[in-house]
Amino acid sequence: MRCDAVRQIVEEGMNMPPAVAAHVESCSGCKGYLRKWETLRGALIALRAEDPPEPSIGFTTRVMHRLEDNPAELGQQFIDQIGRRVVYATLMVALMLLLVLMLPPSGPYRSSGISESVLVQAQVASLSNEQILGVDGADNSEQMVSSPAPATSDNSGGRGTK
Amino acid sequence: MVHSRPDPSHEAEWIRLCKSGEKEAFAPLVDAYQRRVFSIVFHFVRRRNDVEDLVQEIFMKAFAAIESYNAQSSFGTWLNRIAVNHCYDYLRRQRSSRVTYFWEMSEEGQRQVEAQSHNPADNGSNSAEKLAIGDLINKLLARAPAEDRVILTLKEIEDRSVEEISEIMGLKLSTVKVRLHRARKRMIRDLEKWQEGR
Repeated sequence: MRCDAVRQIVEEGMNMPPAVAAHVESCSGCKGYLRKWETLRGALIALRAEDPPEPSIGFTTRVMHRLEDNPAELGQQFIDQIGRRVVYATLMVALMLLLVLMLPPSGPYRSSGISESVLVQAQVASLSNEQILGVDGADNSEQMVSSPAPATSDNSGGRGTK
Repeated sequence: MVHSRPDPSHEAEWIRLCKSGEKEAFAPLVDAYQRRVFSIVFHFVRRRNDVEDLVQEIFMKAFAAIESYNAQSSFGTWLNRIAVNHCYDYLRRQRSSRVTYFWEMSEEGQRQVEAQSHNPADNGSNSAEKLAIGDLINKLLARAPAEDRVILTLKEIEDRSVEEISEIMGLKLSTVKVRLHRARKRMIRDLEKWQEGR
């Protein structure tokens, strides 16, 4: 049995079931808890003995005068009770509206209509085109392929002259 | 002054008249229940000077809300509920109820509580110890969160059953039990803290 469950039972001060009594007997923590609670409970019960103040003479008359004299006070109490609820409800609605407006939409973005990966692919393609065509737009593909050629042609030419 | 519970048929008639706007019919209800309400309020707030004003306010509230009384519970229980709620609001408004428990108090505050709780004639005897704890309980109750104070007062000082507390506070039985256990645990922790600091 868990200590917390045992303590909840023993603090009620009723007859303990055998399993609870056995736990308390074997658990020093629960035994101490019970002892402390009994001390506190005794002190709380002792407060019952204090006599409350007596209503002073004419108490009812004063209440009745207050009722007669202050109908506005009654109305104010009603407004206080109802008004507070209205204020809370309005605040809740305002908070929810604010949240709805401030939170980003949970769905996918639809602004561009093109996915990011397609854009990246297009950029890569344009870059490779620039490299191939050069900045002026002339076709450098042959030059790029044949640029190492002079060395090889020289070599081959050398071999050929041999 | 009438102190015992009035005849139910008379009571029902007074309530009916109050609902129809006859304020004079409220006077016998105030007469009949004032002692009971004084006792409840005193147990909660424990300040004699504040009790009468609070009781007046409770009766004013009861009259203002009497239209909503539907006789599902007794008038006394309904009035108790208004009294407990009013005291709860009052305790929450009090600065002292925000200080909460001993272990959350400043060192100076703890020293003051200890100093006040020690009887000058304390020689370690059991009765002196009890007296000190009784005084400490008063101080701790005065500083306890309103929720703990209300539920412990109803159970241990007012000697209400869990069922009655559930009806007065408008809570489920299980919620009342959980809150009671939590309040007691906090109180015990506070007592331990006090004992450690001695």
